Amino acid sequence: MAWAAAPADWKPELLAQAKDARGPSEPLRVALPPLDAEAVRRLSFELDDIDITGMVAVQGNQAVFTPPQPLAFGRHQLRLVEQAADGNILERGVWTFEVRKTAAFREAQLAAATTLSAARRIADDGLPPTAPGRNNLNGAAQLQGRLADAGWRATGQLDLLFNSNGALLPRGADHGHIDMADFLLTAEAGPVVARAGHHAAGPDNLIMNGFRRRGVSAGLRSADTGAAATVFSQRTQEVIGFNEGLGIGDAGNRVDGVVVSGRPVASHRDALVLSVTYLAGEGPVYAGLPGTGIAGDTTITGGRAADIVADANLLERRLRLRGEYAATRYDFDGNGRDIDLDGAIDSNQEPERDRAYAALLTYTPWHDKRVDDKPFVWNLGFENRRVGTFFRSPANPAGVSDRHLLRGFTGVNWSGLDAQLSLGRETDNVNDLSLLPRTATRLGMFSVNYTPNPNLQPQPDGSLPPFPWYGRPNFNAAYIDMNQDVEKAGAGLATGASSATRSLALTASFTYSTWSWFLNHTLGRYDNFISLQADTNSRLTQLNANLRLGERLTLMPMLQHSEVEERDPPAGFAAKDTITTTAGLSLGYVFSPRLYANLGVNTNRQKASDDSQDLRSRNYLGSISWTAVQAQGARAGVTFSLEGQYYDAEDRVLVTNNQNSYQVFLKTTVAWLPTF
Amino acid sequence: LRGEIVRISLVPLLALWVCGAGLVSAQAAVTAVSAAPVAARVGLGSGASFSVNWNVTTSAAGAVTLSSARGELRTPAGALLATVGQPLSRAASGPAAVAFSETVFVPADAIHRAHKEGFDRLLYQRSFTDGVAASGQVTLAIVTQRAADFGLSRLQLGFDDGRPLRIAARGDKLKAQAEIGYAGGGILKGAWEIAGPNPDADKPAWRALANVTEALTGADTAILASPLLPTDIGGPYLVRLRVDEPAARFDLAPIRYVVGEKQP
Repeated sequence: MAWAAAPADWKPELLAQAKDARGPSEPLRVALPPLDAEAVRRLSFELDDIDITGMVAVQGNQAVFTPPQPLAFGRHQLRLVEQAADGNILERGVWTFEVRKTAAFREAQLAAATTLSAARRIADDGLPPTAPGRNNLNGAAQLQGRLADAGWRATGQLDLLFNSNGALLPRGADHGHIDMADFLLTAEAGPVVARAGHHAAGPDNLIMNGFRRRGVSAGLRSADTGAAATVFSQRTQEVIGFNEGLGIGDAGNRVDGVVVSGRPVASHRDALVLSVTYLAGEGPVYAGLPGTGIAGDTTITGGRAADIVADANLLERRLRLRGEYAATRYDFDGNGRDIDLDGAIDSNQEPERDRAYAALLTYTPWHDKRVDDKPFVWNLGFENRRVGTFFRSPANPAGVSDRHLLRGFTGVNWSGLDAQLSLGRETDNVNDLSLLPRTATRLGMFSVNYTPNPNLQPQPDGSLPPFPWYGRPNFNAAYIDMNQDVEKAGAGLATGASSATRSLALTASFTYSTWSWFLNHTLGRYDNFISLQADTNSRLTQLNANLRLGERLTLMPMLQHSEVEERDPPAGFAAKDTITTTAGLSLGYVFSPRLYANLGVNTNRQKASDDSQDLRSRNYLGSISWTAVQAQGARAGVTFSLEGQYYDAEDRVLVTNNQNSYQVFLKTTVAWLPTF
Repeated sequence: LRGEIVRISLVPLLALWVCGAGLVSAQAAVTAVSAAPVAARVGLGSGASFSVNWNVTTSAAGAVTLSSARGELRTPAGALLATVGQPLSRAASGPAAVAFSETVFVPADAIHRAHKEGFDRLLYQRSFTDGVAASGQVTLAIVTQRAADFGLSRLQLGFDDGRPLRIAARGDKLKAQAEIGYAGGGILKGAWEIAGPNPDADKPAWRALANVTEALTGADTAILASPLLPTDIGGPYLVRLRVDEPAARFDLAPIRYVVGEKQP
């Protein structure tokens, strides 16, 4: 083709998109003037500062870039430069464009992962009378969606379950055949963030820790100053399924609060972070509703709590100082207790006030120290934590109270070696209550982990040499030593040694290119010097492996053996030993990408020397599956399976647990994984 | 002191005859109730579980039913703190000594109230009857959490992201974890068990994936992780941490996961 000479000040043009919005995979077309081949060779294209010249094709008088992968939604920049014959760089064009889903929404997506299985039991024997019917229909769906445009974004996530046997759903039978796991809706617009559903509304601290509950929260955050404020209202008791709505409808089972944080040193945002939390609530803090997996005291309690944290990084982040102070007002029986179960409240105690503080110092002398040309990291620290005897918060169900801990620790990391040492002393009865004894506990923990880095030099053909016969090993040892003494007598306890615990865990793992194995041996010893409990020795040995043999077969064997010996039992009780052995093998074989089989074998033996436990069980679980249609995009996939289960349990103490049964199922599974 | 008879409340036969209004044979009577252990330690500030074996002696001849409607937590001065509403009942051929076992959960507020009223202990009492009643008791010394007897106060099961229910894809690496609140110290014995796919919800065929033998010390919160859970066969599964020792009064309910498909 013959090109006419373009004017020296030629201007390219980014052509408009074909539709009303530019899609993520839509080619970018730049109109060029007539240029000769030499001039075209001098052009460079950059997308978001990445050189894409090699992916640009010149078609006629257009340069066309077809994204190899969909571009992210949002704004992008395309730049065209020319290296002139005299060596100068000329910017011929810069365009900012937006990738959008539609004209109305920059992003709009709904993705579903849906599975529905129909199973029929075609053979069985020995099933208990409670066994479900021959036919079962069950399924699960994970739904995720998002909408966004300039300045705002909304996302949602919802997990749904279906089972024709409602007893297998989280809330059990009598609640229908479809239920929900959890959900979360999030909306962001500028500095405002709002959430509804299961989430943690604030940072972990002394009064709120691991508090992921259903509820709502709304917050403001400043990208400029780092300041943020969040108000929240969440259900005290964990809930699951289609009940309790957003979780905030019951004032007697709700925690309300506010979290405010800021970074007051403008010149060094990370130098100091301040955070304040206040909350109040009531409800059964320590127990969840059915299906939530939380069991404990069902008493309805209530309380208020406030907490302030200052976290400072100084000396170029070599020194960290963290201080926290908290106060609580906690009512152990909430609105009162019906002590005689006659339906009326008979007792109502006054709330208890208490406080807690925690101080932590860590120091890392160097950030870039090298020893023998390898990075060397050393740190040390000190912790002082005091939590009052009656310190409780409705948003920290796992919180531990009545402790005063003084602890020092240090750690070294160098050349694959990591060692940690911690020594401390902890006392209780920190409120010095006259009726209570006080114990003091000396705590020592040491762990060392070593992962040698083999010097694997590439071979002449560029490939890495095979691992040595021992593969790539990792060794770990952890030792814990605790000694508890009664320091102040009370409630029948005399001063003196109370108990001692020692634990040593040794672990080695070895990894090869297609397989790995792992060995662990743990020794434990518990001595009780007050003789209300037996002393105990324990030994646990575990062996696991994960092997891939060829391209088709995978094997995962495991063996675990534990022995627990009791010594020096209390008067009137006999010492007993318990031996437990569990072995298992999981096997997978891929005949073809559409035909595969699995087999699981598991056996367990548990025996106590006093015959209070004598249990053995064997289980076989196998399946062979053929995927007739692979799920892809909006097209549903179909898989047919033959599954079998064999279960043999013999309990010589509780004979009602005995069962010897098998069942065989034919199953059809439909999977639908569309994205809209 | 374990195994000793701690208190026997023998009601005078004459009063029994009056109270029984002729329904009870004059020879039938619970003559002794003993508890083992006779004493335990519970921690102030948290609920506590303890196990007790009751040995109940009846003088009744022939078939007899021994029962106890409820247990009571009281201060040493006799004030009722809480009622344990679990009935115990067993048929026997008398005269005989009949054993009952139970695990009792003492709510934190009952321990707290006894302490605030100036006591360093509370009492757990049960009255057994075959028509004529007698009672026994266990003394519960109030100490700190660290000095208390080994017992669970709370158990929270979840998956590795903290959620109690997961939809996993075939081949996913999935683990469960247990957050255990406890008092005192000792060796926790139990096993990670699963049932499924599509188990019998009323009587799951539990199979042990791994034993748990863990030294718990420090009256703290411990987190135990399960081994990898099977995800090679689709369908719903149940997972639980079966705790053999120490005994827990509350129901250690399982959590669920479903193996399905996922977005590529």
